[in-house]
Amino acid sequence: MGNTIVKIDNLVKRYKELIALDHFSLEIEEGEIFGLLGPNGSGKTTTINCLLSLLAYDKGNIEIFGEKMTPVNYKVKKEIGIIMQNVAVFDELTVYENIDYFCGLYIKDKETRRKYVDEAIAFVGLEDFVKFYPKKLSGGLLRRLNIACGIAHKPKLIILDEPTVAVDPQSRNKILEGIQELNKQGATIIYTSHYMEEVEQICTRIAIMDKGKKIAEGTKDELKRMIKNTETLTIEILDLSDEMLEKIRALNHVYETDYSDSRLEVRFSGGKHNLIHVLNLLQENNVSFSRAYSELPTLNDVFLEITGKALRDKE
Amino acid sequence: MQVFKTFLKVLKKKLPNALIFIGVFMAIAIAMANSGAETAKYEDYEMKIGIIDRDNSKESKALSEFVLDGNKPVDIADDEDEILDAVYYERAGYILIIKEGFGEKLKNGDLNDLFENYKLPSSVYGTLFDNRLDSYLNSVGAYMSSGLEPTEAMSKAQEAMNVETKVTMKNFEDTGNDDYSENFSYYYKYLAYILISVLITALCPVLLIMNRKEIKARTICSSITASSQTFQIFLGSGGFVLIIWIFFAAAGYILTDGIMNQKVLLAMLNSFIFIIIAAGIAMLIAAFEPSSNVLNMIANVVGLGMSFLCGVFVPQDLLAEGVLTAGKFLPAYWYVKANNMLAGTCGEVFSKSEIFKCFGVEVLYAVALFAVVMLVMRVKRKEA
Amino acid sequence: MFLHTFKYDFRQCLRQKELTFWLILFPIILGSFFKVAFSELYEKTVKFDAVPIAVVETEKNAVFDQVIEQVSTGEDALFKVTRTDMKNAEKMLKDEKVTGIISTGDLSVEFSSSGIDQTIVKSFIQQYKTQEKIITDTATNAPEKLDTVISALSTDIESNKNIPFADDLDTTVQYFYNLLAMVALFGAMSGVFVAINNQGNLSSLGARKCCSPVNKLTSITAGLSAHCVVQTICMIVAVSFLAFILKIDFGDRLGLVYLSSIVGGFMGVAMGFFIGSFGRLSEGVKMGIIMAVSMLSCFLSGLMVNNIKALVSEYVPVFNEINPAAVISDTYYCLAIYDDYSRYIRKMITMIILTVFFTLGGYILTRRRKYASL
Repeated sequence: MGNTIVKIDNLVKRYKELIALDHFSLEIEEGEIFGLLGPNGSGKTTTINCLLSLLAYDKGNIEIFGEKMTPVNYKVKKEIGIIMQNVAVFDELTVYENIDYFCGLYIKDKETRRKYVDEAIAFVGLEDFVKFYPKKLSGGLLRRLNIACGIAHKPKLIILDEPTVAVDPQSRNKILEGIQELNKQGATIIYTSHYMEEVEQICTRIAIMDKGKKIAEGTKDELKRMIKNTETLTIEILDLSDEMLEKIRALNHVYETDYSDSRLEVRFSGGKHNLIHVLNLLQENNVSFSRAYSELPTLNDVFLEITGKALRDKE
Repeated sequence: MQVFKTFLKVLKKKLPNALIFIGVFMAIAIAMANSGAETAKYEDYEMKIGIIDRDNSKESKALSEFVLDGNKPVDIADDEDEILDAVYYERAGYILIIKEGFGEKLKNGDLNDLFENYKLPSSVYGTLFDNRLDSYLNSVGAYMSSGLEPTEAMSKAQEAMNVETKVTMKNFEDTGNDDYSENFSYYYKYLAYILISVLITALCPVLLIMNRKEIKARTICSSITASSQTFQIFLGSGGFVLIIWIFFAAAGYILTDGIMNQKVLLAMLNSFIFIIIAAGIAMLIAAFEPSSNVLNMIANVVGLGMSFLCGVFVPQDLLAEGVLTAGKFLPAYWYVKANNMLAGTCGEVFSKSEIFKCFGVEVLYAVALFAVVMLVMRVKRKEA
Repeated sequence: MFLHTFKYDFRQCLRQKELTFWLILFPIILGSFFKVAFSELYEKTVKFDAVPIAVVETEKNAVFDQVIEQVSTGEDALFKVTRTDMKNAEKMLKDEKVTGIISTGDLSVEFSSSGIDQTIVKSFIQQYKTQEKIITDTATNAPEKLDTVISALSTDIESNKNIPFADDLDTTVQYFYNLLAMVALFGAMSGVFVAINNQGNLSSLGARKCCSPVNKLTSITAGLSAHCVVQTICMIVAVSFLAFILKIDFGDRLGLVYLSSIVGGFMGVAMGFFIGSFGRLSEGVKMGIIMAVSMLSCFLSGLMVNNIKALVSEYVPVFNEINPAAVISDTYYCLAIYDDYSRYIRKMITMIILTVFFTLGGYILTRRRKYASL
């Protein structure tokens, strides 16, 4: 590690009155899988588009591979692979032709290209569909084609903008595994998503965005350490008196309780064996409960605590 | 009324596109009506004539006077290239060269080989003018052989050429005296082409969205009955078509200085029946779900094709028998025929009962078209 | 890189089957319709059937009777005459049994509608009255010369010689020329695709292309070339169909007809590219504009009503020089009627200038590589 691949400095982008990016800065090191996490409309895609020099921005600096990124910096562009949020393939070309077309924009040598295209097809598992037209592919397969088109030329930097939107779990896992595999092969990855589970699962470092600002950055453990929550208990209780709730709140390390719909949520900052303490207390008072479980903090908790709102609506 | 509401929303989205076409075709309709009226008058046609007088005599001046009587003079230099350009760019419709020695020859009674002319090949006006000039020279010759001086003979001949012929237009029905101006009849005639083109280009895109596989599948799965859906789509289309019709009828009304009488009302009724046919055609095309880019070509094939076969652009009395027979199987034929009767053109006589017969045939076409549309929609629904 | 992009763009346009299919089919269907509609038009305007007329004797007119008798007998009789009274004549006129009624007294005519036949009747009477006046004048002024005058009236004179600067051309070919112009301008649709597919703010495909290390100029040029090739195929099919199947008269320099069609097709593609590069309008609206522009262009060049072009040349003569459809159809026209090449070359140069203008304009409009919003 150590080589800075992407450096975004003080980026500002306005759409008329709306400030899409508000003095946004970011550095990404070689070999990372960098997660850009945030709710819809937080500025993730705008960041990516500015990074790619597709969008004009009002202020700030962007460097990739240590060079200033411009629309004509073909040397830099050659090393980037992008997978857009929208599927961008030709309906009139087959799976193979699409991949070959986009790969051909980067790789001139035919032999190398053929090899690369075949590898890309194998990589996303579309071997059985090479002669298919995109219209005939299912949603998940289409996403995989979209990815293959972006990575066939073996770029050093791969940018994936929400590649798993509307993808079935099987394809999603395949995609996530693939990203990790690409990373192992040496590519640096920028990955945007509003699925925190995905980001948690694969990213080595994460930045959380909201309203065009970076609100937190670090590895997932670092992020979690930033907040006071260390554990959340959820217990299903049919009937809980206010008096009892007070007692629970008085326990050590408890900083928040919430009781609604026959569910009690208790949040702790620090402490050990918290679940046992609570359950003991309930038993002592003859309160019956059905299910109880403990969760470690998630990125959602991080987001919740920093912004006061959930990362995305509960499903 | 969910389907209807959605129809309106989609329509709103597609409105800029529809307005482009409505605007363009409106412009075309108005231009056509004006140009059509201009060609209609063979006799009163003012031709642009350039005279090159190489003789420059008393006689040649008198001839020029006759030639320009009722025509428009154009200045042309005596230079072959300029002459060809003037004819080619239609700056002049006819160029007459009076050869040197014209006056002398005339005095000697020699009427041969006096002029040369340039004109566009196959120009109707050019041929008409040739005939008039021949007839004039014959008259001059005749007067001269009765002993008159050339110039005197020329003025006499010009006088004789301008003898009036009394022409009366006989109208056999009461309303026959109604003013139904030429502009108006041309406007309504060309409307056959315009309405088909407008509806295919403006209504079809909206229907295509409503027919899109995913949307249709979703609507079919909903609790609304099939007939209610069909009804609501018809209702939406009907409203849109009505507005377009009002728009074009109003334009026609304004275009002709707001004349309103029984003939005009009949012409409007004719166009109203025809726009329903056009809507049926548009819906039928939409039912086959072509891509929106192909739609314009289909609009041209159907619109121009039907117009040429049914006598919209070429007068019906000029079309071959076979074409007319084939035309009878197309609704536009009956529309144009009714309009010709209203205007008393193409040898058609104004007769209310005959006009209503045409309307009847048009209504039958409309009914048949909608029956086919419903059938195709039903078949497609089953396929979906 | 050019070849790579070209190859796939070419494949892509070939596979837009519906569009290509219609581009090729469209002139074939419409051309056939035109051919059918005009099949007898030319002969019909030149050769007439005898026009049925009613002659009502309101006054004795022996001379007129004799003349009428003359023109209504024989193989190529001008009229088919029914002599009857006014009441019956009007009934016949109403039933469309006759075209018009001539009264022998004041030689007035009565019609119930207007049309070609009516014009023939009217001009016949006009001519008769002119000659009648000449004869009456002579009879009063120089009765002894009457015979010479009558013979002078019936001499055939050859006073006026038409200088044919061109081969005689059936006017209906104009419609076919304009049809080809329309096919050429429909190439504009492909031009719009090139613009949209290469612009990052118009399509996600465009965005992807913008991120690749391929020069935009190269990518657009390859796209335009591919579409021009497809357009050329369409033009060749269309011209061949009109020339060989429908036997439309293009003159005897068919090679140049193909050449101007192909260049015309290029101009169409370039026009579409130019308009497609304008602003952020949706593909649908751009297509709408393209179609509207091509329709107007063809209309003003005489596709629907063929005297429009003369009208335009009267009021805005410059417009005929730059109206794309008019320029294309003019090249055919020049080839068909002029022997020399100067006008043809001039039209070709105009086409090339327009093509270059549209292409460069499009390049300049798409030159911007960063967008304010996507």
